[in-house]
Amino acid sequence: MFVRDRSFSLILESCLQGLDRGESLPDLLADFPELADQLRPLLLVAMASRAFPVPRPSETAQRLGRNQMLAEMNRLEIKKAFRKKPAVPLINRWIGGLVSAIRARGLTRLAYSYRLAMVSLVLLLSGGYFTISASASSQPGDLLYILKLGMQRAGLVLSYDNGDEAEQPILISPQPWEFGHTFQALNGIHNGNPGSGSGVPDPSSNSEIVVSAADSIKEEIATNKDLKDAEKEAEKDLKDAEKEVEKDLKDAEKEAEKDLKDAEKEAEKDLKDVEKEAEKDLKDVEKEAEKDLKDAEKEAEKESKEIEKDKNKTLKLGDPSQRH
Amino acid sequence: MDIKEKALLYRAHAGDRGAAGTLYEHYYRDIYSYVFYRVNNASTAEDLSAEVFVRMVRHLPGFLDQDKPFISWLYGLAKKVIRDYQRDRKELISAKNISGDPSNRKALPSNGRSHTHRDRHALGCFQQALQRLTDPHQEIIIHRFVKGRSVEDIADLINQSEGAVRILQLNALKSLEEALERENCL
Repeated sequence: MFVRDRSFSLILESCLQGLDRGESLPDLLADFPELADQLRPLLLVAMASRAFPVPRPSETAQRLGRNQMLAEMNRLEIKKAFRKKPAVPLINRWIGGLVSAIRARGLTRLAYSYRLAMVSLVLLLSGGYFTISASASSQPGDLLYILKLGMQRAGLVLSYDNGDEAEQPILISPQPWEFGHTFQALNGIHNGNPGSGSGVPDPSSNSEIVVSAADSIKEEIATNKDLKDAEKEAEKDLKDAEKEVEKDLKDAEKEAEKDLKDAEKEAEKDLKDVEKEAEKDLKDVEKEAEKDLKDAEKEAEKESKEIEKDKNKTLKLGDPSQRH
Repeated sequence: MDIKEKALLYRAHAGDRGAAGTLYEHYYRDIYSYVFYRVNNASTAEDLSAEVFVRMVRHLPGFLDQDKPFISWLYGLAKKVIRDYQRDRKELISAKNISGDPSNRKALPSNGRSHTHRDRHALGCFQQALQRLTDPHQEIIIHRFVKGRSVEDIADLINQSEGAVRILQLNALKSLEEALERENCL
């Protein structure tokens, strides 16, 4: 069946091409007498279809269509311009996007990248906070003690200018070996061995050792007090800094939102302008069409009047009473 | 697609209104006549043809990445526009009598002679019968017989082999003959 259709379609096509060349239907059918009955109706339908005209659009519609296309081009250009020049920096856009995404979909349906970034941020902040809190009670020799010292130094940096730093009292606690040295000296008094390990008590240096030990203890106590003060100050500074960052973040969010709203408003305005322009074009075209119609009507009226005049003239000429 | 046409397309994509206008002027009538026979209404055909060109500028970047003849892509857009229109109306386009629709009568070229009532009736019959065919059959009848395109051109246009187009042509003519009989046009 398929092969027959295929060969028949080839024969039909050759007949159609013959018709295009101007050959007559009986001549074409004579070449395929066994298929003539099948070919004739199809060729007649094809001939009839070819006789139908290609329709013509009105000039007005063509112009309107063109304007619509150009308006779409304007709209796309505006859209493209907004995409090319972001009104806000990347971070603001990200925050703006995050805020609008939370508003639109809620926290549970956020994009994967947003969720991952938020979880990382929370883990980082909470981990940092707990480590710093734990380091506050650390003693020299502990692993977190380095962090504690670092925090103190950070507190100092945040508290004072570089120039003033040199004038401030040193609040950093002495190194572990310094404590050892002091205790060693005290032990030496009790054990009768205050010197560098000679074993023989020296009564003349005893008072000096006691005084120096007492000074060391006083110094130690003062240093510890200063250390606590510094810790407190550092904590306060850290909190202030956190607050400031939070405030900056909120400001950035607000700014991003504002920028987004401004951009939306501007885009809306542009779109309205384009629409207005299109409407204006439409009205112009309509007016023009109306004018053309009126002109045509006037002309037709004028023509009919002229015809009437001619008629009257003919009638007058035909009337014997009008003849001289 | 020739180089001149390609250049016009790239210029239109870059926002050159003159290039877009040239493309519009070149293809509008072709698209309009196709849409006219598909929807059987002159004013609807005008609206839908305009929509085809709006979509053309909208989707031009996507087309430029493809290796496809422009005219074929444009007809593809026209088919989508017609399909969307038919779906939106949720009904097949009603086959109106051409003589009863003044906008249709206006769309027909006079070719130096006025259309008689018989001409209009014949065209109405043809259009009614055409609406009864499937989309591919309508398409082949319009391209091959109304517009007078060759089998090779149609094969390029609808992205099919010439053999497939010939078979489609045979089946379309058979269906049209049946439809004309049903409409009492023969």
